[in-house]
Amino acid sequence: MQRASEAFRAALVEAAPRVRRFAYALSGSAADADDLLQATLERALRKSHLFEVGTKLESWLFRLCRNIWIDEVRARRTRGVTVDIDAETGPAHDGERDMTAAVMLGEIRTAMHRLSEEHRAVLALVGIEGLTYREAAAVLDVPIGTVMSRLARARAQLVATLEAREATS
Amino acid sequence: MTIGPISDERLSAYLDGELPPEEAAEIEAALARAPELAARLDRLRQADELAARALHAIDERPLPPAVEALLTARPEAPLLRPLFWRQAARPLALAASIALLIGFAAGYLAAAQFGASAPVFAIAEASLGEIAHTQPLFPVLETTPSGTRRALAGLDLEATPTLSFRAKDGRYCREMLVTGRDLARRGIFCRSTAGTWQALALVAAPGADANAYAPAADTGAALLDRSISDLVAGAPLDAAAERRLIEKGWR
Repeated sequence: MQRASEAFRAALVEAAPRVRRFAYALSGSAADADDLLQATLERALRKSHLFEVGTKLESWLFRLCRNIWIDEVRARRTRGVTVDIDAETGPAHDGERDMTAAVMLGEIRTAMHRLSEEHRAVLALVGIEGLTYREAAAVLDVPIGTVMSRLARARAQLVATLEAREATS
Repeated sequence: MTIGPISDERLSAYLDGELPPEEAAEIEAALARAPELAARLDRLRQADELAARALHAIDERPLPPAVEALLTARPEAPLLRPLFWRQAARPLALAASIALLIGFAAGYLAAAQFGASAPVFAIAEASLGEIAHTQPLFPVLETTPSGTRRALAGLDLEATPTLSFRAKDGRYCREMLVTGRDLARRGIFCRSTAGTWQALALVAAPGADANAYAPAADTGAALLDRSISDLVAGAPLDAAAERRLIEKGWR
């Protein structure tokens, strides 16, 4: 009988918010993200014996999450469903002094929405969760060079949005 | 964008600390010389801030109850892998019941529609009733071997025991699938010393719907498996042991 140890569960609790954000980046919808989070945690608990001690739990979880997204959750979506990044979530933090504060949340939503799922995924893993290129490449099953180029394109695209905003204000 | 010899890609990799030292030094020298390059680097950094604002927004949402439950399960409730359970069940189950068990993995439509906690109609023993010998489920629990389907007298339902096992407290218990036209429930029933059966757990199990949402199915299945693994002493009974118990009235 396999059982998930309490230590394993505790590590899951700690990793859950990050997995959730990654799920959100992939799906672009909070409701799908939570379904995906749940499925990922369930699979992780069931397959805890497959987790290699000494490797990074988060990377393993991100990978499970991505596989479930591709195999199951994304598949159930019907064509034409709007990717709705952020529309259902609460207000973001505001009032930063930097100029990104000038960009309204609605515009951030739109900008994120315009990115492809692949671009959002790599941005979430490296830009937000701090994975190395090598780790992100392993999670996403792509070469390191692809991580590098997707990341640059994703950032450049968001910068373009930022600059368009500044040009009109 | 490429400023001089420095592309966004290299700048972006510099930002992430992914360049080898000599290339990083090259970038730093270029940054010192070209203010527009430094401005570009700032912009790329701001892109991450934008993305972070968008993605951190989900932190504000409360976790779904089903996720909370997964993360706070009691220490004494080990999670039994459904795969293990199916393997263990195979020797005594007929092809039909194996198909049904596999069907569980295919889905719980209701869960996807009504939220993650929907498949659990009841887990607490107190909230579920006793199956007295006058009730249609009673003879099925008493006498039907696992893997055999029986119509429930007076109801538009069928019941299929899928598994029998001995609980840690000595009671005999059975897993059962009950199906109707628009309904399917998978439950655990244990026999009391008084000779009645008690429903311990019941989860929604709408048949084998290939289009259903598998993760939600996992919720119900995982909860039931967890309940079983809380209860079970050793392995499920094999067909011969089950037959002997049926002949002796589960004593």
